[in-house]
Amino acid sequence: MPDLETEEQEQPEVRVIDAHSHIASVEHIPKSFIEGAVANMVAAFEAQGLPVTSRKLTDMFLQKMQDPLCDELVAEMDAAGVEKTVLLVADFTFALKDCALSIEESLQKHRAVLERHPGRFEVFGGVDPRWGKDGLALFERSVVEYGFRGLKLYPPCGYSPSDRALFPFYEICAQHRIPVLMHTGPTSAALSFSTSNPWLVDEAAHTFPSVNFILAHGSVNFTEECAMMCRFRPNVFLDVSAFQTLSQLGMEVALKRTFTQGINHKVLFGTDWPVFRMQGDQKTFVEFATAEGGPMDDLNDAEKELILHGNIERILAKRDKTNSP
Amino acid sequence: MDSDANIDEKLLSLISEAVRSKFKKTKITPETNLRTGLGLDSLALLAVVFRLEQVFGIDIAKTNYTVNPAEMQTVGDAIRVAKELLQRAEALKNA
Repeated sequence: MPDLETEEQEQPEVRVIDAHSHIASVEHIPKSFIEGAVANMVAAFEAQGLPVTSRKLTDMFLQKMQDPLCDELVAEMDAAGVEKTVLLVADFTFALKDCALSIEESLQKHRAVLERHPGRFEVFGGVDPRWGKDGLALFERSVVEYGFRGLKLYPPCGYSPSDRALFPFYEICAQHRIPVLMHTGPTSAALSFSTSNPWLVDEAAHTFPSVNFILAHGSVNFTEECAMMCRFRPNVFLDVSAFQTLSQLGMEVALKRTFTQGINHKVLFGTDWPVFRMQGDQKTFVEFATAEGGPMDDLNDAEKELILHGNIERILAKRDKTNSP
Repeated sequence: MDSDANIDEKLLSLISEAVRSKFKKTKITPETNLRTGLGLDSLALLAVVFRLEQVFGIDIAKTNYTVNPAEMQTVGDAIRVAKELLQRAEALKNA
């Protein structure tokens, strides 16, 4: 009988696609959003007797928001071995009044990033459904003319993901076989959290079974609900971005819990760049997730590949199939 | 400005205060990893930096120095950043 003891083998380089990121610029993420996020940190520091001002913390974050063309992001992707990143455009323009650009201008700037860095990015464009027919036409144009590959929704702006006003958007997604990625859970204190429960997507997911819905931050927000949706709705997925919210131990526990739910065919790796640039760079986050002895240690190679790139590739590939003979 | 040894002692004291209970017995050296060795997360590191302002009576905003917890991996990194801030603050005071 041959000796079945496995030898230590050199591990092939792991392929990584980051399924959840944003352009690091206040052109697309308004200052009021950042100030709302910072407010929680101010409260935490005040509790420790440290009177840190919102202005000071906001300025520290804004220093990490100076990458409008994604040149810094590409450099970090190269260092981290991330071959491609999905850029998400959340439309804050209806809900927050200090946005630097209109949503159309924001989408066009994302198109410019696609052209500047060929093959390194995909874009999911977002339009608030309350912009009506013009917004719908803009979204369709982003798919047909700009080459965007998905719809990004941000329900804390004030709408449910199953709002009927979104159904024409979902019909476009069904027609073009592109996914929807929606924020779940709490966010900047500038917005409302009342429509951020992932359960709210159920009617939409049920009505549009051919459209894939990705629940963002499913490793840290409403984790049981997200896992249940993934387990019981064939067209629902989750991404793990924002795991960096937690402590070192918390991150390991959160990711391990997500990876041991039997839903690894539905889990997408993501970093939520640039939100956690104060915590680490892309290399840090990829290494944390993939390290030997780390949160992926209980997975086999096939499961790791699904999470790190296979699942998002499969979702994106649906669109390409429409063009095949 | 305080002597180097005095500054190091104060800085180590600030870091020690932030260390999680399970790491309290860890011997702190310049190579000790702040996160994996002492359990400090980024908020805790920022708190150390802001505590530095209180202890040494400086305002980081005026030093024009970007503090990025992500770049502070070890105790040595934290001490380097702290000393840079103190030097800049001292230079401003003497200007």
